[in-house]
Parts: sequence; structure tokens; C-alpha cells
Amino acid sequence: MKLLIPILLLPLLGGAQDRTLYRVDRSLVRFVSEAPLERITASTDKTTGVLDLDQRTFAVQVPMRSLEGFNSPLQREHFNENYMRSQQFPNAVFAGRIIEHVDLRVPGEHQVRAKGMLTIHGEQRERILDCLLRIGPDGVRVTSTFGVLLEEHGVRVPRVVQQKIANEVEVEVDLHFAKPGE
Amino acid sequence: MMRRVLAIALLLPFLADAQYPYSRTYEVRTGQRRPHITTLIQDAQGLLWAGSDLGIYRTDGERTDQVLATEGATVDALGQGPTGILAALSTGVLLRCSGYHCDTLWASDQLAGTSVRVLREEEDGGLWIGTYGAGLWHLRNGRMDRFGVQNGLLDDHINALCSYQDGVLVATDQGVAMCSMDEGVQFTITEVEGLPDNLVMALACDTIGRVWGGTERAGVFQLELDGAAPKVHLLDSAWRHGPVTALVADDGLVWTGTSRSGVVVHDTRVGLGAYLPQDAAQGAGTRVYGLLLAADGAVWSTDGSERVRRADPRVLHVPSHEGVDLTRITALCGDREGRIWFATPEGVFNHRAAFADDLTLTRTTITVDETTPVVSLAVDTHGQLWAATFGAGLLRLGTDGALVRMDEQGAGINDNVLSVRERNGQVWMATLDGLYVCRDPGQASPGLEHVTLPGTGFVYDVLPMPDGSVLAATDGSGVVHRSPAGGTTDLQASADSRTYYSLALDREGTAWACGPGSGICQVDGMSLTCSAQDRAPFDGSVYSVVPYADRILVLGQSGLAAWSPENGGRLVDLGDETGLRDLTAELNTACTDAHGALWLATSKGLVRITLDGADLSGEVPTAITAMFWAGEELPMVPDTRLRHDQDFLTFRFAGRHHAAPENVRFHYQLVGYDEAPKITRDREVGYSRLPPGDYTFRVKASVGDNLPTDRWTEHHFIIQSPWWRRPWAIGLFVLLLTGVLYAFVRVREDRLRMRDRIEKEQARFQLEALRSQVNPHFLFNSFNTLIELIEEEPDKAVEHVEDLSDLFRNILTVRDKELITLDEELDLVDTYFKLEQRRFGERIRLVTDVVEEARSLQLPPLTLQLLVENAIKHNTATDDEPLVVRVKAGNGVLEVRNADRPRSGPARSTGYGLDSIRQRYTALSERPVEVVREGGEFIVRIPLIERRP
Repeated sequence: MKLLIPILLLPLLGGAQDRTLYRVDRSLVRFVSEAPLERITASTDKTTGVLDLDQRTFAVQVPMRSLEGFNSPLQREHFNENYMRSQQFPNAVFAGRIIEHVDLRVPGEHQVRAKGMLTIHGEQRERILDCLLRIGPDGVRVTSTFGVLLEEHGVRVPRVVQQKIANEVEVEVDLHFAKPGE
Repeated sequence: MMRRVLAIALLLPFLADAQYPYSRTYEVRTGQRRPHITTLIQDAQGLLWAGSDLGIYRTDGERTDQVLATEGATVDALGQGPTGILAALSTGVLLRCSGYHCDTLWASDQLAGTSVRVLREEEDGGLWIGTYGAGLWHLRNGRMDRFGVQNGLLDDHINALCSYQDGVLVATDQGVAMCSMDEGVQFTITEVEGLPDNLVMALACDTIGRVWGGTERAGVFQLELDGAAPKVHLLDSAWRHGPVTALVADDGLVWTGTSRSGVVVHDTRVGLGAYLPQDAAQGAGTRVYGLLLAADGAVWSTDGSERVRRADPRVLHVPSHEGVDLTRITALCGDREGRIWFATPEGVFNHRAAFADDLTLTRTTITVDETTPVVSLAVDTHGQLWAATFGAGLLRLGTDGALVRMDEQGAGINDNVLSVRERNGQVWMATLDGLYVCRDPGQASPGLEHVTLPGTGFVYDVLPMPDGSVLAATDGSGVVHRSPAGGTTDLQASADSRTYYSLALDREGTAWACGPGSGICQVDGMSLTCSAQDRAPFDGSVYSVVPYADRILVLGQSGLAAWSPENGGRLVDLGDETGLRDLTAELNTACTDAHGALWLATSKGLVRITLDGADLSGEVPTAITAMFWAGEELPMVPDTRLRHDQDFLTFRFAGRHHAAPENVRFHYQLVGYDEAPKITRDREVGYSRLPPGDYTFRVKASVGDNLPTDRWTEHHFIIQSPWWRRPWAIGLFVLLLTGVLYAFVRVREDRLRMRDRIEKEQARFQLEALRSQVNPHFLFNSFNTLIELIEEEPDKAVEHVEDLSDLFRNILTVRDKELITLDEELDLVDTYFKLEQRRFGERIRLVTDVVEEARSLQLPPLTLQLLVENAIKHNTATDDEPLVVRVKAGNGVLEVRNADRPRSGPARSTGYGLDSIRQRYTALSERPVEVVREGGEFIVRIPLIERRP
């Protein structure tokens, strides 16, 4: 898992001379689990990632242990130890490309779809996520909201806590990819 | 989150009324581990193959086998080709599987970095490989061609393929492209050409040449490629089911797998609209990973878990629609415009032949009182609806909405009407008081005519016939035939039953009747011919008989069954096929609509069945899937020859009846071993210690209570005898034995013959010798000598006589012996020679030179004597040249030599002399008897024989 990101980025970095790689400089990733008995949220600003403007490809990585919030420290521990097994699968990764032919150099706002592999808990699922791109002078801001089905990623929730953990977790992503050199 | 909840909430009323094909869920796994199944395919035998993260599984719905455990790799795609099942693993390996065995077809590093989305093998052996990220590959005869962005393909990211004309249509992230081996990328279709969305996730080319595509954003579109420019039609412009993940199409039915709403079905044939196949297991939020159109028209889907679902579009169960409970329908009929009319306690409705979501029920103005239910409906040629109520007379609903009620008080008709039927512009009613007929149904106030029948007058059903006659099914009086002239005949059935519930006319004009315990009765002229009275599944309670296609369908308490005289009179239970079991139904609740579909109203809801073209013979296609010997799979080649020790065999087989695989029973027999077929529900049977022989394993299957047909699936094989028991080996043994025996006999015979010959020879020799000794000449000569001696030397004469007698005594002594010593022989020869010398005097001489050792060696008696006698007899002897006979013995050889001076004139001889010696010797010694003439000498050499111990 630790090797995954370098591998994913290799093709991007290979011909980096004639490409413009934007890197994440500001980020907020937040999840909400809205269960009948409990609402759990956690967020992190430790997201890393790159965006290739020419290829319209990207890779984003969220370190699971950096997620903070939760309703108690014990809950956070359970999250990492019991459900996400963060020791074994330290990162959540989404890598893919932008389907729409959008010129990412021209400032403006675009609703695009990002199609790629979402890896959480070591289980890969292909996802197509609706994203809003705001291209500004200093970089690209990407916001997206999507749901993650725990079952799809092999996270099994015991029956006793099913009233406390939603089987679909809402994820909000707000990333800013900065222009290189700025 | 709130948005999504709201969306689902908005969807709910719509979901509640959605209509469903008959579907079931099956679990595919072998152990405790649950595979995530993402791809499905069906093999030529009808078995289902599932690709997952744990490997490849094969199932007939009931029994699942893991064909391959992939050990960490995921099965990305499965494909079916003429040579078997193809599988692509996430490690970049392509496999070809058949039976329980997979071979590596191709392994490539280039494939390892990407995932294979679709595999399609063509009849000519060409294999299309669609990858996500590495373009389209074509592999044929070891040659690899690649299509990608560099040669005109819109994108290297391929989502789906389907075979179209001589190539494939390719769905990519950036549009659709047509690609063939000969011409490469022929054309592309994107949003510019009218695609609703470039991101095409799924493609389907159906059996009638239409092309369908599924997009991420805009649902399903149809692609028309016939014209100069491709045309795109959206299937549903208000698509509300989210991104499409999979698509199959079959003869106008389009099945769409979605990422949130399960499977959505569109029936484009009769404009039935869309409906969601759904039950408790498939709720909102279900993502469909793979769809498979099976050979029987059913569609299988997988949601990424170990569960797969089968939905059979031929059967629709509709328990409710728009809030109307359809499990309590009391009457049902179809009209000429393709509509279905039905009555429930809530009212009388019609519907446009299908329960699509976008089509609504039409509620008529007829109100129903719960105590007087509508029990029969009919639509006449004027389009008016006739409704028979039990207790409230007859109703007629005009096309203008005018409702006319006819009852006991008004029209004089019995209030308890059980059935209403229309034919030839006349409407007939069956009541508890005989029949009524309305001859002018179009009139504003139609007149009714009472037709009384003999017997009880309780009539359940009436059937106006095309010839103007009428049949009535009565309670207690059988089926009554009423001629157009008014004469009635009670049609006598061979069965005891006198009560009939239902009558129907098939398309050949033959009428059919059924009742409790009557079986299925055909109105044959003026009599009833009934059959299948005691057959399962009908134990008496038959509610309705419906002619359907070339068959008769009967609806009863235990379900639905098909019957046809051509089928050997077999009643085929369709309960498993249609999911109709343990139901109750009212009378007159089965009909066909104008589209040819069969409608049944049951306690499980309204059921629509389209079985045209379906095999209703009750036959379950059966396959022998594998044969094992001690855990090792044997090739299923016909007439396989097995070794004699391959006598522990296990057969696996499968019956393709996916609607109810657990009810499949197998009849099997190992012909050559089992005397009669046996029955099992297992999919496997084993035999041990089979003796060598010729065997045929055969199996046939049936489902439910049906009997199997006569068609067996067979596998013939031979267990060979061990080589030493094969004919050639046995032949060889016999030959060898015969040879040995023959040789033995031959040797023995030879020996016997030899002995015989020796004996004969001996006898002859003895005779010869004797004869030679008693040769008159010898005797005369001897006597002459004697006379001379008597005169001249009387002493010598006495000696001569004594010698003569010695000689003969000796001869007599030795002649019976086989062999005598040389010493003895020399004695004898001495005596003989003495006698001859008395006659010849000094003209003959005998010189013996015998070494001492030779004296004890042996020879046949009288041999030497004979040689000496020969020498004297055949050679001249004078005083000048005396005949010297030299006898020499040494080195095991006796040599007799004398000067060769043959006497002139033939010597008298029996000719046995030398020949007989030779012959005797062949039996006695391996060494030859030599007779040579050299240096003017005649030499005979005889081997001497060692004395035997």
C-alpha cells in the first residue's frame, strides 16, 4: 500500500519535463456517517495528490490515521483498528482521470466526472465521481461529495453497532491543486 | 446525504408499484468464503460461470464448483468462445477453461498493468480483448493486433464491446467506435454525432440487429447504424436510474444494470415501458456489476457479492399496481385491443396489457359490492364490457360509459351469473338457473332469452361454439351440448365426474373442458374424451383450462401445467418454471391477450406468462460435466478407453433448470453395470471396482413431479482389459502353447518314428545279415570248400564245420542286440574270414590294426562283417593281387579299406549293405558314415560309439 502511490505517480512523473503537475497544497477531506443512533464525522487536511493538466489524470491519497474528529478518542481507535485496519491499509487512494475535455489552464468553472479506482480498506472499486473544478490563476480547486458503501470495500459492521454506523458514508472533498512554483 | 435520502424517498412510491419478472437469488460459493462476483458467463452446456476475487466458479444454481482458485488475483473478465470459457486475471494472464481445467492461453506484461474489461472470442478463433487503459487487442493464430488512440480509437479506456457485422463496436470513455480487423477503426460516434454522453459504460447488440448503449449520465440509447449517418435515440429521456453499469438486450427487451437501482427492464416490443425487477434482496442502492443473457431468455445479474439473481422475463408476477391489490382478482378477460380487464373487490379495471410504470390503470364506473363479486368478464364486438356478478345479476358497460344492469327483477335473469361469454355477436350467460342468451347486445336495452337445460340447471361455464351450438359445464349433469336447433345432448365422459368448471376453445376449434377430478377433457363430436385424471400435479382441483399455442394449459391448486396430445399425453408441471405453486384461483381467471400472452389471476397476484416458442415438454437439458478417476479429471472424449485399473469412477452432471434447480431429479444409469436407472438429486455419482467392459453412462433429468422424457445424455467409454487378457495376448498365448505342444509332439513323434525306424532297420539288417550269412552262395561256397576239405584235409573240414557253426551261433547271439563291442565283432569277423579264407586261400587277407581302447567301443552287430563281406563280394581277388582288407580302429573310428577293384558284372546284392549301415547310424551317432574312393582304394569309415553307462 505504501508503494502504491509512487507506482501510480510514476507514469505522471516520467515525462514531467513537458507536463504541468499540480500538487495539493490545501485540502479538506471530511466524512459523515449518519446512522439512526449516532452521527460521526471526521476530517483531515493531510491529503496529498497530483494532477496532470495535459493528461487530465490525477492521484489523491488520504492517510487514514490523520483523520480527526469522531465523538471520542476510543471511537477513533476503533475506526483505525477495527474497521479501517489502518496499520495494514494506511491510505485511501483515488486515482484516475477526468473524462470531460476541459482545458484546465483557462480559468473558469466546470462540472466534470472523475473516473478512477477508489481504494479504501485495500479494496478497489471503480467509481465515477462528479466534481466541480474551479480553475483560478494560482491553481485548481476541486470539490466533490460522494457516498462510500462500507460493504463495497469489505468493511463489515457488526450487527450490534449497525444502528450507530451508516452503511453508506458520505465523503466531502475539497482540494486545492497549486500551480508548480507558486 | 439529505439529498440522497430525499431522492430515495421520492423513488419509493414508484418502486412500490414497479412490476417484476419472476426472479430468484442463488448463492455461488463453495466454502465459507464469500466471493465478490463481478462477471458472469454461460457455457455451451448451460452452466453458469462466475468470476470473482477468489477465482472462477461454475454452478447450475444448485451445485457450485470452484473451477479455479486465483490466489490473490481477481478475475477481471469472462468470455465464452467456441473453445470454452475464457478468463482474464488481474495478473495479465488469459486462461481457457473447460470442465474443471484451465490452461494459460496467453500471458503478457502489457496486460498486467491494466485490467481487461471484456473478452469476446469469435467463431473464427479471433479473440477481442478490451482493456481499460491499453486499448483494444485482437489475438488470432498467435498474431496480436492493437487498436488505440494512435490508430483512431477514441480512447484507450474500453468499457464494453459487442459484435457487430464483421467487427466489434467498442464503448470507451470518450464515445463509441466501430472496429474491424480488416479496416481498423471505421467510424466513431461521440457527443458531436449525437451521443447523449461520451462516457459509454455498456453496449449490447441484440438478436434482431439493434445496438444499445448505456451511459453514465443519460441512461440508455439506441444506435441506428443503417443509414449514412448514425442516429441516436434515447430509450428514456427522463432517465432516473443513475449511471448504467451493464446492458443486455434480447429481441426487444433491454435490461439495464444500474449503479443504484438494480436492474431496469424495458420492453420495447409492445411498448410496455420500464419496470424494475425487485424483491427484498434487491433494494434501492443495489449496484449491478454484471449482466448475462442466458440461453433460455432469462437474465442473470450480480451485485458484487456471492449472490447472483436470475430474472425470467417470460413470467411477470404483479401482486399490486398503483395501490390496487391484485391478489384478489375475481374475474379476468382480454379484449381485441390488447387490453386486460379484471375485477377485484375494489372495482373493475382495465390496463393496457402490461404493467409498465408509465402506464396507469383505468378504473371503470362499475362499483363492486363485496357480497356480490364480479365472477366473469367479457368484451363484445361493440367494445362493451359484460360483467357477471354472483348475486346481483349482469352488468353491461358501454363504450360511452353507460351502465346497464340486468337482474331478476328487471330483465328476468337469475341473479347468480357465473360466466359470461361472447361469440358471433351473441352474449351467453351461465347461471344457477340454466343459460341465458342476449342476441342483440348492441341494443340500448338488450333482451335476454332463457335457455333451460336438463338436469340441475347449475351451470358453471358456457361456451358458444363457432357453428352456433353451445356447450355448458354443469354441476352434476356433465357437459351439455345444445344444438342451434335447441336439442340438448348430455356428453358422457368416461370418467365418473359429472361436474365441470371450465370450458375453452382452442385455435383449431376443438372445445376442452375440465372439472374436479375430470382430468382434461376434449369435446370430441358428441362425446368427451378425458385424460390425465390421476396425473400429478392435479389432484382434482382444476380451476381453469386455457388453450395456449398448441397446448392446453390448466390452472389448479398446485400450479400450472401444460398438456398436449402430441406430447404423449404427458402433463407437464410448469409450477417450477413459473413460480406458481400452492395457489388458489377463482374460476374464469385465466385468459390470453391480443399479444398472445397468458394472464392468470391467482392468490399470488396477476401473472403474465409469455411462453411462445418456449419448450413446454418438461425436458430438462442435461449435461455430463465431468468424469473423475481417483480425483483426477478424465477427458470427456466419446469412446474414451480407460486402463483396467481406472475402475473407480465418479461422474458429475448438471440439469439446466435454473428456475428451480433444487427440484431437479436425475435418472441415471451406467449401462453395462446398473440393470435399471436410478434416481438422485445429487449432481454426482460414483462407481468403484468396475470390471473391464463397454459402458455407457447416461443421465436425464426432470423437474418437480414431471417425468423425464426419453432423451438421455450419454457418455460412452471402455474400461480395457489388462493387456494379458486382451484378445491379441490370449491369441498369442494360444499360439505359443500350440507351438510348444506341437514341438513337443513333433519331437516325441520323431523320436518314436526314429526308434521305430531303427527297430525296423535293425530287423531288416538282421534279416539281411542273416540272409547274407545264409546266402546260398555263401553256403554253397562253404559247402564246396567243405567238400574239398573233406577230401583233402578232413581235419580242416571238421574245423571248417566248427567255424561255420560258431559263426552262425554268434550271429544268432548278437543279432538281437542293438550294439556289441568291437571286440565281439572282431571275433565274429575273424571266424567269418577264416571260413572265407578256406575258400579263397591266400587271395584274400585281413589285416586288423585295432588299438586297445577301441575294442571296448561299440557298433551295431554285423556291421564290420557286412563291410568285409562286401569287400570280398564286390572285388576281384587273385593270387597275384590278393584282396587285402584292412581293418583299423582308432580315434573312435573304424576304418575298412581295400583296393578298389570292382568285379566285372553285377554282383548280386540286395543293395542294403552300405545304405542300411548308414541308416542305422543316423539314429545311433551324430557322426557320419563315410564312404570314399580315393587313391584306388575303397574306404568306409564308421564311427564307433561310446558304451553307454
